[in-house]
Amino acid sequence: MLGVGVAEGNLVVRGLGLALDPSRPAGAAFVSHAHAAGAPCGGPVLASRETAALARASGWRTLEWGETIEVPVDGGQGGGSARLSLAPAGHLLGAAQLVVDHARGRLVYAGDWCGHPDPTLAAGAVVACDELIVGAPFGLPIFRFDPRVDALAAVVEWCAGRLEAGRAPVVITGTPGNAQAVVHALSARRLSVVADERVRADCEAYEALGVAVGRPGAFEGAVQEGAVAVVSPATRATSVRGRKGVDVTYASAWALLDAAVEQRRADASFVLAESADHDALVALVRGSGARRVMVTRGEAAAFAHVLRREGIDAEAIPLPAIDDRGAS
Amino acid sequence: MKRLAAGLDQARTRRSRIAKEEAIGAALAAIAEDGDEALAIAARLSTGRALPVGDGRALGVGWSLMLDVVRGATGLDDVILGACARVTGELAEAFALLVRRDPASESRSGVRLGDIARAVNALADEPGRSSKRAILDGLFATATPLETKYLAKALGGELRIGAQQGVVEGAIARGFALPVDAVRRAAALVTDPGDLAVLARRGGLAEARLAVGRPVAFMLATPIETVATPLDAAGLVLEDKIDGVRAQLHRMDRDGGVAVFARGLDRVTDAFPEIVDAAAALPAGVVLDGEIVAMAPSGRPRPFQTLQPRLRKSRPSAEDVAEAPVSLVAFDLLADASGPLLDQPWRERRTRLEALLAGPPGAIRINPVSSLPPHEAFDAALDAAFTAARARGHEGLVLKRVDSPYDAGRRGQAWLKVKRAHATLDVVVVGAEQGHGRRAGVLSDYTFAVWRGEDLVPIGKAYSGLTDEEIDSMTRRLEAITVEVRGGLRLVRPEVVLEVAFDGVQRSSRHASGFALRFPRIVRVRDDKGPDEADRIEAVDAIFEAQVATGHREHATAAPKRARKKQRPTNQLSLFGDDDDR
Repeated sequence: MLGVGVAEGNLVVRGLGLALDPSRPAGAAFVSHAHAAGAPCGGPVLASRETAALARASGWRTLEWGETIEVPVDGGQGGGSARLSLAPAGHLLGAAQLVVDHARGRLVYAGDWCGHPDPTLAAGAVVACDELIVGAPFGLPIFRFDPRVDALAAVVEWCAGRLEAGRAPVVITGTPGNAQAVVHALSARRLSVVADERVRADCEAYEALGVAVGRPGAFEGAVQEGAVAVVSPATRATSVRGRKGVDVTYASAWALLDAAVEQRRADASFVLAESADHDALVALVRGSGARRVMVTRGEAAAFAHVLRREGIDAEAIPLPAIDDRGAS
Repeated sequence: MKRLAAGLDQARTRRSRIAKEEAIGAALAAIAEDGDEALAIAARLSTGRALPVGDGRALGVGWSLMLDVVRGATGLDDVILGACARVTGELAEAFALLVRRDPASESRSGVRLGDIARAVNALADEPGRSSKRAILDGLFATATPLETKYLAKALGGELRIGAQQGVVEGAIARGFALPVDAVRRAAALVTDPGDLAVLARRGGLAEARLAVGRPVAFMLATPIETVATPLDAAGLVLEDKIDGVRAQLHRMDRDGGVAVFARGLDRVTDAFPEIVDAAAALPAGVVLDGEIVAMAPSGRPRPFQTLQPRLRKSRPSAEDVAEAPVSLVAFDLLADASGPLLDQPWRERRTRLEALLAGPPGAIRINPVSSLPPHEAFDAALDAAFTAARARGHEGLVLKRVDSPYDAGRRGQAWLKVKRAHATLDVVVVGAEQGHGRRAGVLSDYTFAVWRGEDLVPIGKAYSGLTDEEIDSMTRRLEAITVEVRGGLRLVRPEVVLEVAFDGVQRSSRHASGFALRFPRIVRVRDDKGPDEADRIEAVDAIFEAQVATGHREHATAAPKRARKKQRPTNQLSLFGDDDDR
């Protein structure tokens, strides 16, 4: 019988033996987006073609959009079967929701869902279902995000202004995802862009997947005159911050929080969210019509509490703490 | 308040001190056009305080009351608000983000600084929680999100924008185009930032004077472990470094009253009635600097741990006083009936102090001084004096130049404190928590333990000693070895060994080891040591027994019964700041 629970520190669909975005070693797994890849999996791994490409994974069982596969429930021991398919989750190129249709209804794992599109990705879809598992890293009501396109425009304006002032702007932002959206927006404004190795590799991957974002030059650690540098948060602080003539901005959903900006030691910040905020998550849950909602990530218990206040049957699924801030 | 909030927010995002000063200075200069009342409260709020320095009243706005206000303003319950505050690291920021949810909030009328000044006064005068709540509700009803953030921060007593008192002094200098040295000199005497800003705007910094009844900034000593450069023994005197809390006593000349100010310049008069009684015999106009210490009937100072229960009581009972009577051990005279003495050499001030306190020692007594023997090697003589001071139950020594003026607010070379840390301990990290403010996103607070048999028993927490880069690295490392998350605390596998220095060991019921380290700070991460090589409880016990033998600790004193929950809201310990403040 299908059910949702926690095994070995991972969220799992029981009956399918499928771990969802596992952070610990797992058997079979579904990876909803490239940021969620990483834990070693001993069994087959399901993902969208784009996610597998961005994760540089080989041997994964990729699903095309619209494709359905049938898998046995309880190993075929009288449990019948379930049909698995993908639905867009927004968030970043290839991010997918897992839709599980089975005898008792439909279960959807929304992953890290985002309803705001930008030129590099489509918005997440709202899928009608009976049971919904939703990640809520930004589920608290303090999180209210402006549309991504507005935030991207603001980042570009800031960079252009810094260049005009003779400064060297550096944008710290997560890759893949935000970084490619920023590179695309800067290129569209015809600004010269350089990027660190990780950002460049992900830009190449986007291009290979048919999404034109531009191919930035190499950022070798030294600031280049007349160019905007786009770097991932993993770039060593000393390579960009505090350099003469350099202005650093941090573009992330976490930039809404003072402490996150201070930790990046940025001169400016932009709330460039690739996840749903509080209102969008509540709207997703309502739009899905789910009778039962399970919440993971972030302040899951508090968001489940919010949903219950709204009359929705919701519970938090406790998972080992994952610090989401490092990724973006 | 809009201009001030914008200036403070700009200061928060600026990395350099100069840029912070410019942002706050520009705001203060603009606000000055609205008059002295607005300027004074703006300058105070910029330092994270609402009441003037030296004001004896308490605002009485704690976490719980502010939570009531946020709950009322947002309609959200404690589960959600608690989670919001956890994520932001502080309630004020969460409050502002919640206010911002209303699209109309940005176009609110805002709060006038004059109204804030009046509300602050009313909050300090109103004893009732419901009255305070009504005042706060009124104040925040029209506040924009940014105003909400900085007003709530300041009322809570901490801005966390990297702008301490010195930055605000720099801001006043920049805002009114004055030499920063002149502002700093005046600030040592006019310690209230509001009064200082108004004086600066009027161009009256040269008029800054010590005023009896208003605290002046304490002169501080530079810590040393050994004397690096040869000193002229003839120009120096030695004082015992007393293990108490620094205090300034003012015998007012107008109404005959007495005021006692702690290191943070807060008025703590009511906490020490026996000192106040003794001060009544002093001539009007006297200002003493000294250390408050618990005193044994023999006249010997008792260990700091015996003073701690008194520090938690703003108005002690007669029983409290009888249990741990205190004395002010005076070591400087800042003013007497003839006026301020700050510019007089120490020698002259000392002569007057000795004349003033010539009677038998009571609740106000004088700290003895001595000289180094002129013909002995300096280092050897200093070592001998240090050992003798420790044997008398003191922390160490203070060396003072006899020709030095009282340099209020400065930590210079005229006073040197000789204090030596105990041998360090190697401890194992067993838990970690996120810090606050700038360290809200990283694991910067570490709980550490020593071995007792086969078990690790916690003995303290350390917050300081590592660089930002080291904390980033520790964060990643501790996240990877987290075995359990309990609220904000991560329990970690015992793998990381730290070397910690400390100023002493005391009995404690807080930690399972039964001991706590005083002022633990991380010396380094001992990657060269495995957890099995960390120190054992026997080593801690040996240090404690050595302290008992020299009178630095007492066996009989009960471990302080201080439930963390009870201690936090009163926040009284912080009134006294770091007791090691000389």
